Amino acid sequence: MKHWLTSTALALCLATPALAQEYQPDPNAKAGGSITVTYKDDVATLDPAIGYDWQNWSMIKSLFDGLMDYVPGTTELRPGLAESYTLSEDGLTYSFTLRPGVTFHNGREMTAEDVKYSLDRVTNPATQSPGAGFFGSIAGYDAMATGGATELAGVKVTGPLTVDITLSRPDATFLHVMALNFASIVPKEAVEEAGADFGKLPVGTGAYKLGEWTIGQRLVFEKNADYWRDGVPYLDSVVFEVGQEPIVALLRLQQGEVDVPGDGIPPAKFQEVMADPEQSARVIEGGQLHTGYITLNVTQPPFDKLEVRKAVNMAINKERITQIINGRAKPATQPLPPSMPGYTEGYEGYAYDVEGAKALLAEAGVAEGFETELFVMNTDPNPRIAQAIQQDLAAIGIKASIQSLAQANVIEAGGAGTAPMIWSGGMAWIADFPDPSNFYGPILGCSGAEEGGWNWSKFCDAALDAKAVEADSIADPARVADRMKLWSDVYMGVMEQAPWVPVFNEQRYTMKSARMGGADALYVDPVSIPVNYDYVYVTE
Amino acid sequence: MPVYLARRLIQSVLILLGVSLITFFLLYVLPADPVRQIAGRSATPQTVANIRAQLGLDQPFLVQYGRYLAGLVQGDMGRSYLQKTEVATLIWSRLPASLLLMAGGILCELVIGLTLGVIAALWRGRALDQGLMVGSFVAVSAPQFVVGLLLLYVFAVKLGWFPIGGYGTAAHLVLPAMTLGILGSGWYGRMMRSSMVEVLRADYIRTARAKGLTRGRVILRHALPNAILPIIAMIGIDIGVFMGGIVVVESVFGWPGIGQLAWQAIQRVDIPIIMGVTLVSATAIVIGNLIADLVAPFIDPRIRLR
Amino acid sequence: MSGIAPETGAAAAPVLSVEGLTVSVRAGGVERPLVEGLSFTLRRGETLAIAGESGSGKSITSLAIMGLLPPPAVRASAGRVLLDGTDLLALPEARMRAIRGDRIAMIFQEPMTSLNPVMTIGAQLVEALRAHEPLSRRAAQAKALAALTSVRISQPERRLTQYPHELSGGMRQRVMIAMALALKPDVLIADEPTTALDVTVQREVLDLLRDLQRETGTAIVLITHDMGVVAEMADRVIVMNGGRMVEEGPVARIFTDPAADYTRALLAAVPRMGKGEPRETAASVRAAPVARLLDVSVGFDIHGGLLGRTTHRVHAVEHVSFEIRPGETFALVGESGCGKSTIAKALVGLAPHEGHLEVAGRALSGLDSASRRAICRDVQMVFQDPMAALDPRMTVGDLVAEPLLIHGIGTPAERRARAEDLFARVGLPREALDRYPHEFSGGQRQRICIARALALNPKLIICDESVSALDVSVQARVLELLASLKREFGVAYLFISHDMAVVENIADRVAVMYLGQIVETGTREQVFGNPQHPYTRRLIDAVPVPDPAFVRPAGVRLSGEIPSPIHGVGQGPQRVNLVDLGGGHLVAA
Repeated sequence: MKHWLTSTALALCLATPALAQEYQPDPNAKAGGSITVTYKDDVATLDPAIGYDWQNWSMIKSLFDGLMDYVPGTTELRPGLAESYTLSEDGLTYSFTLRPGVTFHNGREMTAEDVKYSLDRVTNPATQSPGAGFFGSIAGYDAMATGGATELAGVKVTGPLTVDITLSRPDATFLHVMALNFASIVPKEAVEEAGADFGKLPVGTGAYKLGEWTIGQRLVFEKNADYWRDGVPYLDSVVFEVGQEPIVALLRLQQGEVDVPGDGIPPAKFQEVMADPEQSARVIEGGQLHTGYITLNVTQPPFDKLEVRKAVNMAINKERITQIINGRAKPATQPLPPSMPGYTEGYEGYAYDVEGAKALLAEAGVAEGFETELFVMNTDPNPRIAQAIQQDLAAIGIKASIQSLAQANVIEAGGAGTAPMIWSGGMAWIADFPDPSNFYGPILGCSGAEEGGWNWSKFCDAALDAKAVEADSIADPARVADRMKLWSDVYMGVMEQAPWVPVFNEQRYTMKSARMGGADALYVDPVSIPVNYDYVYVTE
Repeated sequence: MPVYLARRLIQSVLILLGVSLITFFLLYVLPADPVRQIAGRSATPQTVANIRAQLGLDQPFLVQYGRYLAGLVQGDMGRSYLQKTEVATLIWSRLPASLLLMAGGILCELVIGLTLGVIAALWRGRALDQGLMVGSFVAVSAPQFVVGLLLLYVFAVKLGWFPIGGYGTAAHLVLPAMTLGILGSGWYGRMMRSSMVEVLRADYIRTARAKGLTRGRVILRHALPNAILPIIAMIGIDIGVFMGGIVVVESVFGWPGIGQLAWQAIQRVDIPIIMGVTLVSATAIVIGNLIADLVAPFIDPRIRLR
Repeated sequence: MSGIAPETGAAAAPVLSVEGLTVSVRAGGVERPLVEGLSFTLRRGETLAIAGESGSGKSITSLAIMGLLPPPAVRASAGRVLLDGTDLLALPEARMRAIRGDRIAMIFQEPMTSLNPVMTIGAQLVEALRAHEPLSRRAAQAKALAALTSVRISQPERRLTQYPHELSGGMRQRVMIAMALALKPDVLIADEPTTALDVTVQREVLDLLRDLQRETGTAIVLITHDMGVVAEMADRVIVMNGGRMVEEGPVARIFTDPAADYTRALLAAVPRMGKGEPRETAASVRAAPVARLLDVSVGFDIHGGLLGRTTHRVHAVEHVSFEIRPGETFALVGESGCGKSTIAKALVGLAPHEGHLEVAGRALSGLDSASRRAICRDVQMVFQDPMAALDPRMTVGDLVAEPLLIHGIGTPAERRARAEDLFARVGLPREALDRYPHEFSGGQRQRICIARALALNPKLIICDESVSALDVSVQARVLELLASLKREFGVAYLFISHDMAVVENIADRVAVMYLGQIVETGTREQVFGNPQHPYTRRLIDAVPVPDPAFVRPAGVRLSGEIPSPIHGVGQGPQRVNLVDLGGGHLVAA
């Protein structure tokens, strides 16, 4: 992303089509064929305004397009349905020029009106979009959210293929927002015809269109022959079979019936698979924008004492915890994962130091330790991780009882602020888009610390919040480095106050069948989990 | 009989009303907020409030329940919070699969359970009987998840006799039905054995033998129909147990039934689906029991429906 | 008819002979004989009674002849059973099966449970016929109908399509007899065929059996504990005790001149009608009654219809009035379903009643819990089946002391002393206190129940068929015990029984119940000496007389079923009016 943004001109920049071709498609790619992907859970919905789980996220990406997109297998932005854009001098107005001749799956050509309709729709409360808040920087958003308006004042159609989007404040993450699924362009007539069932009858501009959907059994994506990007997708169809236990999916993969187990390798089978060279060769490892952490509720004694929070940070043996999940993660030192821009290189974090932790507790006046509760989601491996945390805490005299609950109940307790400690496993933060700001506001900022928010530490530091706002107002691509420095400072400030214990950054492991081709990066695509359906292919 | 039926139907409606009220209330007081599940983690408080109002979840309990019931009597079970699809559509598209699985499971457990129960009773006290009873104990206590995977591994993966999960043909049904039936067959086996042992001691069995009937006829014509009587009433009750079993079996075998739907809905606090599946299951149990009760007089002439 | 010699000369030929039969049971690796060295012969057309008390081996003998001994524990270990020269014990199962039901048939004690409840009467009859004769279904049905007709059952065509539960016990026993005799067997083994039946029904069945025998010439082995039945039915008698034959001989000689001591003791214990010695009633007429019933009714609702409204009512007890005075034995007699046990339940508060019911001066309705407890102390019950009434997991000492514990009386030591004392009174050794109920015989268990009933010094003990299940010798001893306890403690008994002979022997006053109402009541002498109501006479006449020389007056053959006590709401049985014949002898007008 840095590369692309810095290579553009100053305030007025133009994304040239030539840049988009920087991604060189695989010369060995073959068109044709079909793959089978399995999932345990039903696909909830394919409505891009609604779908917000990691399962339908990549599926929606293949059915729909937004104005912006990412280079496959990377976190770099590239133009999508927008051929180019310009940013006004004041950094508040983006003028997009749309790609001509793009048609929806229903055959109609996409226009600037569709862009406006799509953004109005996603921000309209009646749509119940969980992503509406991402568009908060567009002028007129507040009127939409409170029901005072039915159109976003900041979105103006200036021509058949041109649209201006005006912001109420500078927002450095705006182009990432335009690449979110929520910003996908949908055709008004198809949405209105399907009504509430648009999620089952999706019509977009994407590389695939929905062929068949038998509820509870399978979905078939068929190649969109009129796709506006030449040459892709390679596959004729992608079959998603749902209701498949991960362990059964693995058996079927071994029998050659499945190409990609969408839920990954079941933990119980991980070592067995990795020990078999034939199978492990087909497992692709990659990083992901994920951090697993323990929240310490700063409003509840004794976690209101900084020394106690630091002591807990020093007491946790992160190395051992990564071993519990078969080494499928790397110990974390800070909230941001290493692959995220703004990550502070060289920062060591709080080292594992039991004696030091005890000393800090003594300093805080709780040398003899105390009793507390650790909330955890009740699915493997989280209770086992919680036990390891419990043992580490016991070593410095803290007696934590484990509250192992269903996900919804842990989230409820976290939001209500009743949980002193929460292990985030199963609910941990995975970035919506690759920008450091996405790791702050809802989970570490003051706005998330409200009742029901996702900031389970209830940590709120006005100075850090101000610094975050300052960083995000630097929309000037030339000052990206400054912005990242600011973000680095914000997270260092957070670590200073230690409301979290960052424990590890999970790695991703995607297994594929032998016949599947394409660069490894496509199988650990940061924004398309498990794989980027548009660019993978089969060799037979 | 029509009077009996009418009364039973009224009772059934009352039972279902009770079930709906209790379930609705339990979901209402559940310490998990469905709106937060819908809104996701990036939602602003404004978005959360909007969604809550849209779904009417800001209303008092009785208003919410009243609205739900009003919809229900019009055949509207509401829309899934997360899938935004009609609950009725989701359930109807999956119900046939569950009913098929259940029928297969019941057939399996009856055939296996009753056969082994009779054999054990006829050889009671011998090694065969003791072996079967140990086996039935294992069947009763074995977790269905493990049994399912074991059957899948042996008969589908290793031997390749059956497909590895999925839905569609009779071959797909065999392993899930077996898995579902094995637990019940243990129960039925033990029940049938004790019922049969008791019946074999009955005076009318002695009478039948004194008449000079063959051993086969004594067992098939006299002992079996009597021994099976207490089992019939169990089958109605058993449907409730099956509802629990299909959740596990459907997920192991990728069987597209309402058990999967329920499990996913519970995890996501998708209240309309939980309510819908609960009511459909309760209806199935009520109907199952009704059928068992209606069939009983045909098998046991001493029972009269009043 | 008893005592009359076989009518035909052919009867002299033995059809069945048992030689040195020994039946053993294997338990814990040891074989123990149940029947030892039994030999007898049975001639055509003859009735041979095997008489004996429980455990004498008489039923085991019959099962051994039929080849129906429960395998593998029980087997015929020695001897031969010859049917026309063929040793049945040596026959393979397939050939034995062909004989069973065809050449040798059997009827059992329990008509209520001896028929398959889920098959129609017709199907069960047809099946028996077709097991032995190659009949078409239609022919078999015709033959089944003929068989039912021959046992004089009412509406035989209808019975064919009915299920056993739709028939009364007497009708079921008729069906059993029809089934047994349909193929004209050489031998019919009747194992206590009338024991479970009411006395009037017993009369009918006995008459029937005798008539059928005369028609078919079937030889009958009649197994019974009832010496009255023996006297009426048998030509010859075998008396068994402890698995061995004690005595064998013609029926007249056995009764008039028994050779064995055991036979003499057995005959002495048999309660006889008209032998109850006249005695002074200990009860004082002026004393306040321990129990008083005034116009008491008990009904049970039968619900039906859409709203579960009461559609019918079982009128179990209707307008019953009587008093029980201290120290007297008041007997309620009547046949099953007449409401006598329901009165007992009402007395202990287990059945809701209308009318006035008081115990020891306290009215039973509207009691607080303290008074209810007091009534529980005043009234105790002794049931028919002592095994069912005793918790098998408690020692009998604890069982006897339990009422004291419940009412919080005494220290553990005192309760123990009281239990020892009670044991002594009922004639049980004090060492027995620490044993468990299954270690006792039936008679001993009933003594334990009586001891328990006495624990709280009750004013009234309700004996609901308390001696009916006991062997005659045991029964006689328990009756003696009851009588001596009455003298000793001044306790009053409500004695409920269907056995007229027992009632005549123990009761001071008697009430005869029919369909929930008292049809005749008075002192024992009044009711038995001068029975006025036809039903009372019928009950008395039906009792088998343990005297082969007794000639039953002709013309009292009865038939027909007792009407149902169930009536629609608002309807009910017609109320009988009792007329005093003088001296408290009340009879339904």
